[in-house]
Amino acid sequence: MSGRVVAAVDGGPATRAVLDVAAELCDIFDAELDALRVDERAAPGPTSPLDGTPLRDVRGAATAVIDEQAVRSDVVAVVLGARTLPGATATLGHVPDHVIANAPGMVVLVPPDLAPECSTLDRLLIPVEGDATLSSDAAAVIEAFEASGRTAIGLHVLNPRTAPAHADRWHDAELWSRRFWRRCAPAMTDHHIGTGGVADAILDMVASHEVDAVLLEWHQRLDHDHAAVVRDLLRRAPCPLLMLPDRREAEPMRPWLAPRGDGP
Amino acid sequence: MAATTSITASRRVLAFADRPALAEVIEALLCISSGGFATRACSEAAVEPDRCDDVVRVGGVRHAEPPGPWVRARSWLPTVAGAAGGGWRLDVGRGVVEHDLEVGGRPLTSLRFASAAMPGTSVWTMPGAAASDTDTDVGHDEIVLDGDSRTAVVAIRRHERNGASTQIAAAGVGPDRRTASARASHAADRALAAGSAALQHAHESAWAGIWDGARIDVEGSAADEQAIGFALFHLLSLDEGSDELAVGARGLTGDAYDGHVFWDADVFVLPVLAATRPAAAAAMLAYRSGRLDEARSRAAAEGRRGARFPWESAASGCDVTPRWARSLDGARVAVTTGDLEIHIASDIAWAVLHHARWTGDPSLPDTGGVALIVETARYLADRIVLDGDARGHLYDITGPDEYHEGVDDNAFTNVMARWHLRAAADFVDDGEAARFRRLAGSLVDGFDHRTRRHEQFAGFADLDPLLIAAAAQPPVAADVILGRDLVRRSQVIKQADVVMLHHLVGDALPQGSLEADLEFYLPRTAHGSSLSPAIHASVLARAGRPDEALELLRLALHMDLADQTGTTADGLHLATMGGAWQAIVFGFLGLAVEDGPQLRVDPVLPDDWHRLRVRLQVLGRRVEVGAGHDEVTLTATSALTWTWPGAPEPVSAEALRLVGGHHRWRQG
Repeated sequence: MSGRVVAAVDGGPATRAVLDVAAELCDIFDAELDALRVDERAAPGPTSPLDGTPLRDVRGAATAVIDEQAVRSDVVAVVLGARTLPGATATLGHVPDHVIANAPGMVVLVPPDLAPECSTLDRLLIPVEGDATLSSDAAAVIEAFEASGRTAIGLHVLNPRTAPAHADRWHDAELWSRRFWRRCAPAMTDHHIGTGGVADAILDMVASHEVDAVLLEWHQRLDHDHAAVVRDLLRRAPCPLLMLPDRREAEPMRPWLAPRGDGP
Repeated sequence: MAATTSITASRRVLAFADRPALAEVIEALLCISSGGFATRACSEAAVEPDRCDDVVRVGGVRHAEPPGPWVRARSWLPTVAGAAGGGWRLDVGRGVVEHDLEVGGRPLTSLRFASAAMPGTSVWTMPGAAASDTDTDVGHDEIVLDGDSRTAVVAIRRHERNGASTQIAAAGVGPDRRTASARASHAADRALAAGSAALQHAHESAWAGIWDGARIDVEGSAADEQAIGFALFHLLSLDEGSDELAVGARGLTGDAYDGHVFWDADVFVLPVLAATRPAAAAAMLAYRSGRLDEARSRAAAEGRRGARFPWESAASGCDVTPRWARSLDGARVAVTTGDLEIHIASDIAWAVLHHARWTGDPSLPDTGGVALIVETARYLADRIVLDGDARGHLYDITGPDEYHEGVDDNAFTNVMARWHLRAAADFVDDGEAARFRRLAGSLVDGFDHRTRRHEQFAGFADLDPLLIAAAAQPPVAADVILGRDLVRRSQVIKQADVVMLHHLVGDALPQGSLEADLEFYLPRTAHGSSLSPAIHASVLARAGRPDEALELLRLALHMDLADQTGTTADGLHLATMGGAWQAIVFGFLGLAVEDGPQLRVDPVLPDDWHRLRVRLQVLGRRVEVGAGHDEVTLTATSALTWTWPGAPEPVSAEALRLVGGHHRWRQG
């Protein structure tokens, strides 16, 4: 075992799905499951199983308890439900909203209405927009999925903001994308190209390619002008989202290679 | 010729930061080549074991067709243990690439060049890298590139002297490995005997000579001058010193398009070489002439006379255009360019006649040029269908605007065919000449006398009148972003199509159509093709809109420097570079060879440029044109006949000064 996957549940509708997804992640990352039942009123007590999964009852505010766990170096991922109730109108419950914005590592959000048979993580989608690159953390996640016999699927989304300005042949986009993936994730062989809205392209792929989860790198800001794609997916995605903080400085979409030299 | 002195050394040096994500882009940008032996800029600090596996290409050495791509081989450059890569510099003036490294805590700089003095030989050296100061040969090696019909061998010699580590690599080509190896070894040993210092001196002297006849200086914008120098460096490096020169769409700098030769070579690259390295331009035409029989066979297979050249060509001259490709959704979709872009026939004829006219070379009949013009004209003549009103049509074709495939009477194709048939009529017997002229006169061209503009093809006016700005900000790959079906149904076009006519055969078009065509087509142009911006820059300059022209010229000049296509790692866009040179020479300077022969000049400069100075070769002379906004100086190595708009009569002189401005020059 190389670490812990922390599953935080509260006994609500997402509990079973959260535990199942967490168990899958343990298999992928060769990690130990640490399932916490967080209740502000409950006294810390002995382990109590839920359908065979041992649960550790922890007293305290959920955000504080999870924050305290998330910063620990042996935590591979924190898994929790995305909303308190199926069909809730808010994008996120206040706990996941706090956790994804503050956790230093991967947070996996599980839709509360995820059917039990959908909690396997056999096929992971990695969407990337334009010229963006994947971080080493993301590359490690992909590597772990593939090493465990699962499938990583790349989705390269092109739109007017991110696509190459020129394509001399209509099939050049494929060449561009192939080159992109070679640079970005050389071991991944299953690549697709999407166009138009990023969230729509991702959800199309989820539906058409039996995707079990989506890996999203983001800068942990959900306020109005940021992370529109993340906000959209949090609202609409039918599968778990693996949210990975991206601590790299944002690079221009088109890396400027122009020469330096004296002015006129 | 007196040297121009306005540029500083740094204007000739392009510096690039070392960024791992862009390593493959830099490999292409800093590719060095001479004598058809090309080496991409593989780093000595390469950490990925396979990174340097596809670094070397040798002109003419290809795999079997189709598709007949270049054979590529591992790098001959050393990997320096413990080295960390730093910045790169390309000094286009000296023709050298420098790379900063840190080796064991010591800053060292390597230098590499593809010798312009000994074509086919390249040198890498790093002062301070040798184990000792002794003069020692430390080994040799050989890299073999086994092609379908030719083999290349790269012989490598390693040497240490005065603390510097040096590697010399020389390419030899032959019908078999033994012959190629012997040639390569001979060249490598000769270079080794000369020593790296002497090789570098001779190389830099050779580049100084090349630049003396080809340099372009821009007062007012160091950045523009640098980008132009970058483009010219790669174009001038194309000369392989061989009888035939097949310039693939990305040259030897990468593998995109499998190294295939398109109209890019004939129409975009050849004019640059005709004015800077005329022998190389002639070798490009020899490449076409050498495949005329194959083109005749293809025409015959269609039951037609003449010769049909393929849209994509490799070693044999057979059609190697791919027949299908994957669409964005993964579906297998037919590629129709090979069947439908018959304008390649007139493109080749244009190249032959442009070369003959520009160079003043009287050897056209001896070099196979006439056969190229006539045989391609015969094929087009057979493709023309006369309707009941004796009007000639070309059906089911595709012009440069590949967003609209399989159209009828594409104006570019038809007008070029008309021009082509009339030119070919000068080289055939009277009966055939009359047929050519009759068919030329019959061809519909979509020109509307009322609007003074050409309809791009029959039915174009009925398409959705979508302007590109309503859908996306150009340049944009509109077919990728909006979808092929949408652009096909709209008036959004990929690149200069009608406008391209004004660039190539503007004198054959009705007066007033340039402005009207530009006015109509420019707002519809996505510039989805990397070929588009430079041609529009040229035509906009001719239309007296130099500031707009400069914007598009800059786009072309940074096509690779900014990796605007996302495919620079797969090779440099040489046709874009050629188009940029043409925009400067034909567009901003307004140079053209007219009957006489005489050289017409009519410069127009953008506000950002104070003065543009261009050196080139034309009509057998070296010429320098120095143009400001209100003054032009013209010098030639021997008397040349000059003319300009409004000139009372042509003037024969070695040097001339004009004053005034665009369209209103007078002798001063």
